[in-house]
Parts: sequence; C-alpha cells; structure tokens
Amino acid sequence: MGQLSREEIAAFCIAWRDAEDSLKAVEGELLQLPQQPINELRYATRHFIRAIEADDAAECRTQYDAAIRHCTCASYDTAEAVLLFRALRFKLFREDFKDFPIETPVLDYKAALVAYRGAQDALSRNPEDRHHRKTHVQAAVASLDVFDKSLDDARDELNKAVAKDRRTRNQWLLGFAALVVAAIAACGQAYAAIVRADKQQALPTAVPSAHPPKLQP
Amino acid sequence: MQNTRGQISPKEGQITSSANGADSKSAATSLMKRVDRYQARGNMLAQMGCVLTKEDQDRARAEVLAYKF
Repeated sequence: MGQLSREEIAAFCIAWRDAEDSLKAVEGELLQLPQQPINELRYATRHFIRAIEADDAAECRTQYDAAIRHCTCASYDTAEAVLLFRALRFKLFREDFKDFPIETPVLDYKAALVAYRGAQDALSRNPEDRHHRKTHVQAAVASLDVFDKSLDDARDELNKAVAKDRRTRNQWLLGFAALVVAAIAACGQAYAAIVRADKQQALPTAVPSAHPPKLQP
Repeated sequence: MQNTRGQISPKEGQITSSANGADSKSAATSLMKRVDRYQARGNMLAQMGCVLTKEDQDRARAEVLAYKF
C-alpha cells in the first residue's frame, strides 16, 4: 500500500478537482446536471482506491493511470456538454432569424460562423480518443465564449429590428388596403353615375302640354 | 477550511498532497461519498428533467455534427 508518490496523489487531486469544477460550471450554464462526468468521477475514484490498495507496483501504475484517464474523460464530457449546448443555442438563433439578415454590431456574425464551424471540427476530431480531443474541445469552448455571451444581446437587438420591420410592413399593407378600398369606392361611384345616366337617357322626354288630351269614355 | 489545489482536506473528501497511504485511502473513500452525493442529486434532478443523460448528449452531438454552420 502507498506506492504512489505525493506528486502523483497531488496530480490526481488536481485532475479530480478540475473535473469537479467544470461539472459545477456546466451545471450553472446548462441548468442541467450531466450524468456522464459523474460516472467518470466514480470510475476515477474507484481506480484510485485500487491503486492505493495495490500490492505490486505494476498494478498500482495501471490503476493510477486509469484513474487519471477517467478524470480527463470527466473534464472532456463536461466541456463537450458546454460546446454542444452553445452550438445548439447558435443553431436556434440562426433558425429564428433565417428570414431576416443577421446584421448587428453586437455580434460579428461571420467570425461567429467560423468559430462554430471550428467547434464542429473539434467535435468530429479523433472520435475514439477523448483524451486528446479534450484539448481541442476546451479550446473550442473558449473560442465560443465571446459569441455566446453576445448572443442574447444580438437577439434583443434583432427582435427590435424585426418588430420595426413588421410595423413598417403592416403600415404599407394598411396603406395599400386603404388604396384598394378607395379605388373600389371610386369605381362604385362611377358605375352608379353611369347607371343613373343610362336611366335618364331611357326615360321619354316628357314635355308638359298646355292642353292635355281628353280621355274618351 | 482552506482549500488549495493539491492540498485538499480529507475531511472534505479531498486529499492532501502529503497524505500517507491510510490517509489517501480514507480521503479517496470520502471522494467516493462525494460522488454518491452528486449521484443522489442527479437522481433527484432527473425527476424534474434537469439531468443531461448520455443519450441526450449523443443526440445533441449528432445534431450539431449534422448541422451546416
């Protein structure tokens, strides 16, 4: 027992603590508790206990490495959860404003697109190797920080622009409708005038006679 | 209680870098208890739908990878 050096124990503590910190952070952002990192922390701790209890050095080393690996996986899973959450948030944002040009000083849209494509690339890289992918995913999460934070402000601003656009469009529609109604009314009046004129032409010219004809019995 | 990286109190379920084997083991056991607490909290939150399961994460990953940014 006790074949682990103090540095190794400290390294495990740091890795465990890092994973736990990111778990807390991700819960705060997603308002959901990710299940996978908890399981990974459980595996990590179990391997660490086995490493402490191991009688031979090789077994101790194997268990210790597994413990560190699970801590890394826990960190990776939390980072991936954040990345997915942010990517889906951006997707929703794009879908909400798909009929509207996304132009706002709050969000550099083209740069955001590049960053989100980079995040997608980080997700698809080394699918079998979570240990190496962790670095890419954590870097991608950091690169999305600025865009994700400005997304709410951009949404507010674009909503205002959309509302203004809708108001203008409604005013145009109202104007056009009034024009159509006026045109119909004018046509109706013109038709009525024509009908009246026709009726007047059809009536016999009744000239009042001074001596009306006497009626014969 | 002062907690700095690598020097974490066993009482809190954490390990000091100077811990010996027995201390490490008791601290590791405490860590496991801490994981159990997270798990219990996860079970409670699951009833409110506030847990991100592996399936949820897999589905989200597939959706993000399929989307054209």
